[in-house]
Amino acid sequence: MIYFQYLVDAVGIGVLYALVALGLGLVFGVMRLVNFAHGELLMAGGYTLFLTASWPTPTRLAAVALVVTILALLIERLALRPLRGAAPTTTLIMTFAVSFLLRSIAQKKWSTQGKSMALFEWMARPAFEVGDIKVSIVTLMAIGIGGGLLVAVSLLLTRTPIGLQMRATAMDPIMAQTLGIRAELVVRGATVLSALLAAAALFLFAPQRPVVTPEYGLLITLIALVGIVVGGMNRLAASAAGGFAVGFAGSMVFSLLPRGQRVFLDSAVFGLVIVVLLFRPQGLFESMRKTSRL
Amino acid sequence: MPPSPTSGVPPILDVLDVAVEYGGVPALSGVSLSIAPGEVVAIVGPNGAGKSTLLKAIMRVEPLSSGDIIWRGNSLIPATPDKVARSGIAYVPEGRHIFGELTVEENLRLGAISRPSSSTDLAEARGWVASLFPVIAEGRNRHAGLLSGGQQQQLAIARALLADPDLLLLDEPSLGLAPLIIDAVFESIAEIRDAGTAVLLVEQRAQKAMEFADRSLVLAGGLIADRFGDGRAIDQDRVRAAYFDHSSSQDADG
Repeated sequence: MIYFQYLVDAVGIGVLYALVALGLGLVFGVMRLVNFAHGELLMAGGYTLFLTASWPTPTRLAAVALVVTILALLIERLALRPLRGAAPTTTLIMTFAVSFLLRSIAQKKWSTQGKSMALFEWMARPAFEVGDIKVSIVTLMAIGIGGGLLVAVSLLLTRTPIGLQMRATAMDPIMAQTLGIRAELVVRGATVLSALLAAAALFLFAPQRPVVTPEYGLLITLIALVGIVVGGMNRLAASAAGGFAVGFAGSMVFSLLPRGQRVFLDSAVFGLVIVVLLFRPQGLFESMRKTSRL
Repeated sequence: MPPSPTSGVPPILDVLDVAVEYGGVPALSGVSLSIAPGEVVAIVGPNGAGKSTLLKAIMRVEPLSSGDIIWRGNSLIPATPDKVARSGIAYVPEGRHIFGELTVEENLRLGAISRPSSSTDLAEARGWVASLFPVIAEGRNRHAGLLSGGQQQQLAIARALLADPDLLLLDEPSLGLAPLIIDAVFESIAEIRDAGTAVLLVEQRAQKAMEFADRSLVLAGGLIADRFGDGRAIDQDRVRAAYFDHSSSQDADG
């Protein structure tokens, strides 16, 4: 019976990582770069929550969304756009440098001591208990809101003109341009969308991990990056599914490992990743058909 | 020296002494040509001659190392591919490059993005395009990747037409297609020409393309090896010579 709780918790974590992975996958698909600094959007959101602790909640959420979006647009404009057309490793190193810079600034300002984000702390309590099973409110919210967001983004991508242009750009960016699609518009749209997904992930992470440090976003980014590689980098749905899978697997392994052996969590998860990639290097959910790009 | 189009009307496209290099290796060296409104110009030549590169240069997908391209009186050099598309040039690349994971309908909608607001009603255009290419009407919600090669080619051309272009760049439309389908594709190109769109057609199947076009150029080794007028009068031996003897043209030009 306890396995049911593990399952529900794992789904909750999986959905959160799906949101982060979707944001990363969007940026990779549309701009062809791996944004190592994506997690710092969550960190920035976290410190915004810390600084606005006394504000009414809706205003706090709006402030976080604003800060995170502006930061993402600034990073794109100042650090990424000048590198348009550079080798992928160059942009990867640039995002790594941006990540390092932002974390250093946070450390200078607020030290490595954790700061309380104080968001929805009431959510960490159980929503219902059946025997041994405790399902916390935040897990239900993560599954509900997170799942809803994934559906909303999916609708945006499949039912709106800008979504169609984003998908086309992700599949074949040069062909998309020769059809008249404006690259800057699509890039800006993907940046904003990925920032809002990061903000949403933060709101849902915060109740369970309420203390923000400069390193807050780092491990989340790593896990989500692993997720998009495992799932398949060339399709957004595959990336999100990969994020879900790694988050889900990590949570399940964590729950199932005896307490003393939890230090092996990372080894276990990454061991699984190695096995998956050995047998399916294109990603678990990637279609076998290769898309040719112009 | 670019030949003036036979009609005597000022050209809409002027390619002036264009050179393109890939990593120091010249792909095009000093190519010049003009296209008049509504004209069909064929570019033929052996593999690797630079024919696709020429179309990519016009579309600004490839940068020029020297020369200029004048479209409707303005240089295309500062333009990006999307600006070229929105200024009235539509591109159907080699290998079609339809979006396989999108539906036929979605592919068509993407074609209409660069349609000028002054164009005729989109619904009317879609009707015309559907009459040219029945596959469009039949399988609108099918994934484009499931279409056959010939159907994909038709979809690619239909998509390009929905932009209501003044110039259509076609790169090897007959590649990999069965003869009957090729005939159908060329029939549709004829209708496109009759509707007033200029066509720059790159083809390896020299004979068919040259018979079809108003004027033809042979591109070999990155240079224009020969030029031909009206398709019916073309001497195939002369064409063959141009394909294989471009070294002597180089001497003549140099």
